[in-house]
Amino acid sequence: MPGLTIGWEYLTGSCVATDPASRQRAEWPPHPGRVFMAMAAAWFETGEDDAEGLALRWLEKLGDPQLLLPAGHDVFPRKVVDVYVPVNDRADPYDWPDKKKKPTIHMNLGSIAMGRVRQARTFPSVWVGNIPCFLRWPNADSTEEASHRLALDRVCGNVTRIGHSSSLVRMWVADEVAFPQLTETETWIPDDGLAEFQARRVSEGTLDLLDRGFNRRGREAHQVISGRIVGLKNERKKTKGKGAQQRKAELDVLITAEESQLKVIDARDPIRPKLGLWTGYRRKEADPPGPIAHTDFDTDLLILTQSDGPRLPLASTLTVMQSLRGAVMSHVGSDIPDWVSGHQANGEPLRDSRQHLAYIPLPFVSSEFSDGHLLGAAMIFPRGVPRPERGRVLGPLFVSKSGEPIEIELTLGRLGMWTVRKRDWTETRRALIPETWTANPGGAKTWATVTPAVLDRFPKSDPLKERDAWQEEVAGIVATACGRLGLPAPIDVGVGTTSWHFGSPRATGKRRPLRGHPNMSGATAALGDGFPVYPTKGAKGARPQLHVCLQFAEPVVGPILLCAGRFLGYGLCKPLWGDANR
Amino acid sequence: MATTLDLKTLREAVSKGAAARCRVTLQPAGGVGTKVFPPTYSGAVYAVEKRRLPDFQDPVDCVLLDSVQSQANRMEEALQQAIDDGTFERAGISIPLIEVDFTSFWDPEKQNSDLTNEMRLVEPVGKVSSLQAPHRIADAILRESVIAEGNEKGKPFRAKNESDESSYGQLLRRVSNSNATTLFELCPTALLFGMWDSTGPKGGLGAKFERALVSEIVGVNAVYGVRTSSRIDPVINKNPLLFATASGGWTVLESEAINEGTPENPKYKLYEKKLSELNLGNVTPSFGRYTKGAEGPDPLKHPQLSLDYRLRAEGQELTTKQRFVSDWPEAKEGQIGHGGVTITSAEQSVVISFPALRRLNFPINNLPEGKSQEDVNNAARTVLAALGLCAATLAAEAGLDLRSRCLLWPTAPLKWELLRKPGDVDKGYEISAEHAINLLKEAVAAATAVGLPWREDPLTLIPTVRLVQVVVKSQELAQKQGGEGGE
Repeated sequence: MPGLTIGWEYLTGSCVATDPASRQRAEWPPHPGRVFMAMAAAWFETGEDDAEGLALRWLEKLGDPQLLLPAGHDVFPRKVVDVYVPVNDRADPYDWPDKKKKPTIHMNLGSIAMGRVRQARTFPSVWVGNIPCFLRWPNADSTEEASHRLALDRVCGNVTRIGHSSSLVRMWVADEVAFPQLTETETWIPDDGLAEFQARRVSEGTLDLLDRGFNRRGREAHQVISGRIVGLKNERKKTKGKGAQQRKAELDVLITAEESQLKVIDARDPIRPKLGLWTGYRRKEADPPGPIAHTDFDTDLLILTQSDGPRLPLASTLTVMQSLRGAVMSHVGSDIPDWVSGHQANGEPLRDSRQHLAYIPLPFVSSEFSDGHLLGAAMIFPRGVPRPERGRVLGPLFVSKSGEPIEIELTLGRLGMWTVRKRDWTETRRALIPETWTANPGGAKTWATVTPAVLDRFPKSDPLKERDAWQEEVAGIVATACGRLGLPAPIDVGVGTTSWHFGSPRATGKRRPLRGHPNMSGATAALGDGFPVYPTKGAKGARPQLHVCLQFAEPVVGPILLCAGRFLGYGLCKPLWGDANR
Repeated sequence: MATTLDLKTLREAVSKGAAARCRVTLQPAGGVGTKVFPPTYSGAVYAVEKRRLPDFQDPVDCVLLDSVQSQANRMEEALQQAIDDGTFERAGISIPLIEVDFTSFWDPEKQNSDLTNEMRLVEPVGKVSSLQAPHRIADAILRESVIAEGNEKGKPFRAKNESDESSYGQLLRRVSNSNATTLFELCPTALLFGMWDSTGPKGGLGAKFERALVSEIVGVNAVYGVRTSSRIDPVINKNPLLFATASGGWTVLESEAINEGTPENPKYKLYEKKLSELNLGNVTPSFGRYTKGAEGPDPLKHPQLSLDYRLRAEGQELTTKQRFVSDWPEAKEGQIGHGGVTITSAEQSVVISFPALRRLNFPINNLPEGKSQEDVNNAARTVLAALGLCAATLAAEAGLDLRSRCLLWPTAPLKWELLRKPGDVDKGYEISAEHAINLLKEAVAAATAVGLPWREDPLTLIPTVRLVQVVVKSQELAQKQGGEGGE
């Protein structure tokens, strides 16, 4: 396996490490900076071998590694509790905060009939089990890796813990990334643009920074010289008899010399190591097991979760997506890339089946209790847009400079104000997980719409009189839409007004005759819920919008967005697991 | 099949391996399924987590039964017990120990006229050893003591100025990872369980040793119960009101109570506690509740409450359909709290890190012929590993009586694996306390043979006058406040 891989295992199964941003939270995933500091500590405390130092300095230059870890849903944080520990700096067994008030007696220390003041401490931890963790630099030079391997292996072998002193590990330079069978894992890759979490990083000079911060040499030198001065002064004090004056003069010269040397030595106390540089990480989508058909849209969705505002039904998709698009366009300003706007520089729409940024709703659908309300929204990128470009254009809208998600307020007219923010990576709700909408990596054979597909053209056949022909025509339009996305033609297309997914409203609202108003002859009223009609430019009437169910010969990977309204959330398909027959 | 561990194998593992690890399944002494009581933290909450474990398809609720810090104390206690009951002596071995002797200050009969009342203990403290003091050899109790006998009698064990302190204190100033010989001689458990000489002469820059042994016990597949409390007093049927007396006591007689009103319109001052708080009278049967500071999810509550409803008006269904989903309820002060758990089993994991031991060096002045410093280092590290095995096995065999209603028992002998590189399968070693003591004895013999110091007799210290005064004062206060203690 090319590159460099370093693995470690938590020997007790628990990773005990405090998040640098909060003492009430465990740090997970482990920051590469923390891992490096553990290796540096091993080096500092085991004699600072030259070859090992060179290896660590080489490691510093390799850039940000990938993190290969057990899947997030298999790592469980322990409830953080305050632990009161007896402190050592005050021997008083009682506390007397106010001389006017009664003192408080501290509890006895176990079997000893003496009390001791206790202070609250926290030990945040996560349960990892016996699954190993890896840092991987895939582009590390193999010749360099071979030359430093032995030294790095020694350093790894000397690492005792990553995090708190109870977070014992064994560490090694790995030939391959090997997880136990059936382990679900995830890979985190550096991505500053649209990162899911921020981690402390290592850069060239980190080892020297740690060395300077600890200042062992300075303090040791100070101690040695101070010892010599004390010795000389003692000798001076004891010097008596013949030649004493001369000897004292000599000693004074020596003492002065030592004292002047002492003055220039930096003997400051160690500074708690703090890495100031951070880098963003995002979870890498799993690689498909083999060649598999996929759409031209990327499986890496930018997911936003609702953080405030009313509970909206799925039928409000269009309003929300238009508002979200407005927010994005307003942020990007005048120099809008074509993959964002969907238009070329001359204002013409993108041709040749080129996709551009799409906005989709993320509703609670498909389960027995689903009611279709919106949990968030997502942005879908064309595969061809490089990730750094995505981050460059959209990153500042959603993530602050310090890596914190920014709240975006969407004005939705009568629906009120809806606030969204970039998804926290620990989010577990299924609708807010990309794989729910992409079926990545294995793909799915059956997909059905959760928002109606708006047909690109009107079928010529009459749906009432020529049902079979109409259905065949619609299937053809849908198959063409699939081809436009880069997918094979489905082997079967089911068409209807009701979704195959629980919780999704009808493709269009039903109407019923309005009774009780004799002066409004022929008037109708809404019956049940349904999606509003998708507005179409230049067309005389509303285009047919339908729910469809697609059956492919082989599994395909999404996201799948069909037909005319696909860039604003209509025609969104979701894998249909189980029976597609209704 | 597990075999027994010999010194050669242990020494080899310590010099090249990653760790010694023991995972043992425990059951409540009352039998499988008996309720056990985990430790409670601020707010009367338990430390809970989920784990994915091999025998369970889904992640299971686990609860902390004994923390790393607590386990270290229990292992030291097991070593102390083995010293006190003569187990080590019978095996022909001793463990270095420093003791602070308070016995001469316990004089209830007032036979020692030299002792002033400020120096006379209210209750006996006995001897406090470096195995009992929270911060081991660096603890304030030892810091506030003087040498009891010998040439340095009366000299402070530790002092701010080096010239004022004992030779032991002077040596302790210079201990570090690269020079741990003094600690090996005086307090090897500090090297095993960790130590920070944070309040010695160097303050926060004092020597710091990270723990090499980590042990923890968790209950697996925890189902949370509640705790009830009640009291039926055999002589008091109804709890009367208590009034405060002028002397600071309590009374039920209005005539003896402090009258804050006038003789015509009396207003008697109530005593600060109720009768039930004096452990008298009846206590209404009630459930244990969360107290101040409770936070985090409440495991007694269902994780999610969902309510689905559909509105109907005069037989016609409207389109409105709603669902409420609540978050996991939080533990709150005053709510009924958890009281004990039933568990499928408890799991103890003990790990001794060999790289942590390998960081320690033990320089000696005169190397025996044919021996290198690395031989000496390895011999000392092997002693520490054997001492760790000894502490863990002694604690396990003594029974893990963690607290009231939480006595656990290993279901099988402790089986240790020596971890090397990932993928190397170890055959496993069954180690009894007797075997571990013998292993320690052999390791100590090998260490002393290469010139390492190993103190056989306890180093006895006497508490300073001010420390005794503090202890006496605290005991008096505790007695005055009803001996309830607590913060």
